[in-house]
Amino acid sequence: MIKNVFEYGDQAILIDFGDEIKKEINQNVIFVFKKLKQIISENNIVGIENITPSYNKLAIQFDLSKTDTTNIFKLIDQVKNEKVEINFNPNKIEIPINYDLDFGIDLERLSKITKLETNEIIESHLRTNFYVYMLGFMPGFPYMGDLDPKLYSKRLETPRVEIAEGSVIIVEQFCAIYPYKSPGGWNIIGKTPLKLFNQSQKNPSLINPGDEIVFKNISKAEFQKIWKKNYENQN
Amino acid sequence: MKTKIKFINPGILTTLQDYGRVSLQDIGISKGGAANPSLMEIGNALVENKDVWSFEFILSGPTIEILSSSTSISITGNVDFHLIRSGKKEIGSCYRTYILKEKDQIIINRTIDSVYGYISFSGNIDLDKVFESLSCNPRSKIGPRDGQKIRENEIFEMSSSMTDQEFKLDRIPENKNKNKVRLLEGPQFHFFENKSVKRFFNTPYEITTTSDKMGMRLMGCKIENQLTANIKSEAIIKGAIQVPADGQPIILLTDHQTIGGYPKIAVVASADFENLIQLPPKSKIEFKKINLREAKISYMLKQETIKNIIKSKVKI
Repeated sequence: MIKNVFEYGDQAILIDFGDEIKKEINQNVIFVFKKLKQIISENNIVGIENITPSYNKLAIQFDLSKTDTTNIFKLIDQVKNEKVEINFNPNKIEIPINYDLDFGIDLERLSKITKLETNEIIESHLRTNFYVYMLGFMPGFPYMGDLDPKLYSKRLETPRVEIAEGSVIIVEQFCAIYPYKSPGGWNIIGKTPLKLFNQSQKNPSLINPGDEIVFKNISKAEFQKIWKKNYENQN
Repeated sequence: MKTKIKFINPGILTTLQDYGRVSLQDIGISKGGAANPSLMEIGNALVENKDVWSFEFILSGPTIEILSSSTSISITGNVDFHLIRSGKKEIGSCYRTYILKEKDQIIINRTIDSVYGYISFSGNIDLDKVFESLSCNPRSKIGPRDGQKIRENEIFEMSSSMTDQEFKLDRIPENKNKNKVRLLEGPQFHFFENKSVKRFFNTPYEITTTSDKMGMRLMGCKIENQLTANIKSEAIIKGAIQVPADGQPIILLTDHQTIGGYPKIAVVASADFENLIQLPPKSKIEFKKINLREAKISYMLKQETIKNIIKSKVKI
């Protein structure tokens, strides 16, 4: 499961699980991530500041004035030989989405690139059971995969200066959602009225690494109703 | 009695900071916090705060008026500033406490030969922490007041603590060899061609003007990559040095993104990070490779120095 463990500067360790982007590899990353968090909280282990999963690596950052590399290596040894229990009951989330062309502004262009009708793109997207590889780029931004290879597209040559929060975007095998307004070069296929990130909540991110996501098509009227509830009544 | 202060002039980029927030990088939030935490720590020791927090300013600092009550303050860093006390303007000294009263002003002119300075007030600020931290990151909008920088005429309230004693330090931080930065090999060190790696360690690099608290872009000898300029995105840490396809290194700083897809040639030794982040654009940096043992020892020595500086606090 773990291919290699090496030092990453003097206050971090990087665990290597492989080179590819594959759900099976990432499930190992997420398993060790959750296991380490559990051991740390059960044993009140101090000095560990962040554990960050990515496609096929896991970084452990620590405070050198409280612990050191030797202790972290020992901690990793505790999980190294554990039997991987892939979580067969992952957190499943349904994300409402509206694909109207004023939201899915790249659907017609994608239709030309992929030689699929826009409704075929939408149906394929709705059929996909997405897996959350990691979060990053901005708070609450999920990297989800994998799309049907027929839907693969490249980034825009010139990124847009501003993309609305809630925009559902695709590039290559990935799908993501913008939690905030942001510049970006991914292709926009629709918009969700859900708020992905709320810093006033204890669990601020709606989506977390290892979650499973499906999208649900909703009408503009339903979209407006949910959007109002999430974005306008908060003050 | 609460102390009320007003930012008459907010400065270029003044933010509220503490040590940052941890355990959130997996959902896209890096630790952040003060760029130069040692200066913040020393500043808080001078105003006798147990809970450490400061206003961090960059290059051209703020002008602050005390609206009501009195407070003690300290300025840490290499900072040119004035005070107006009881209507009289005087030149301020860093690394000491001043007691200020209603209508007094702190006029921060600029940081000298450095980037970040800190102003610490005695007591706690009246704001709710966000994820257990007061640190503000204007770009990701994380922190109290949506993490925004301080605006003109913004008012803050603080609980006052005892403010009848002024302190100074017998020892102050010195910055010897600040342009020499020690590095450890990065996770993709072997991606880079031998000759390039030699040049990286033997020729100076210049800090460009496009640098900020997120990252420092360098300009110098091109670093040739013999494998690939793109890797599968992985966690970024403070001080990681990534090299994109153009061969010009970028050092990730305090407000770094959480993941990144460029190979990393090296990581800055923690002992030298604060020196590095204080170097203004157009400064030249020289790199030196060290091993983990040396990095650890130099970090312990540095922590010891900070402790001794704080211990050198005496009453005025």
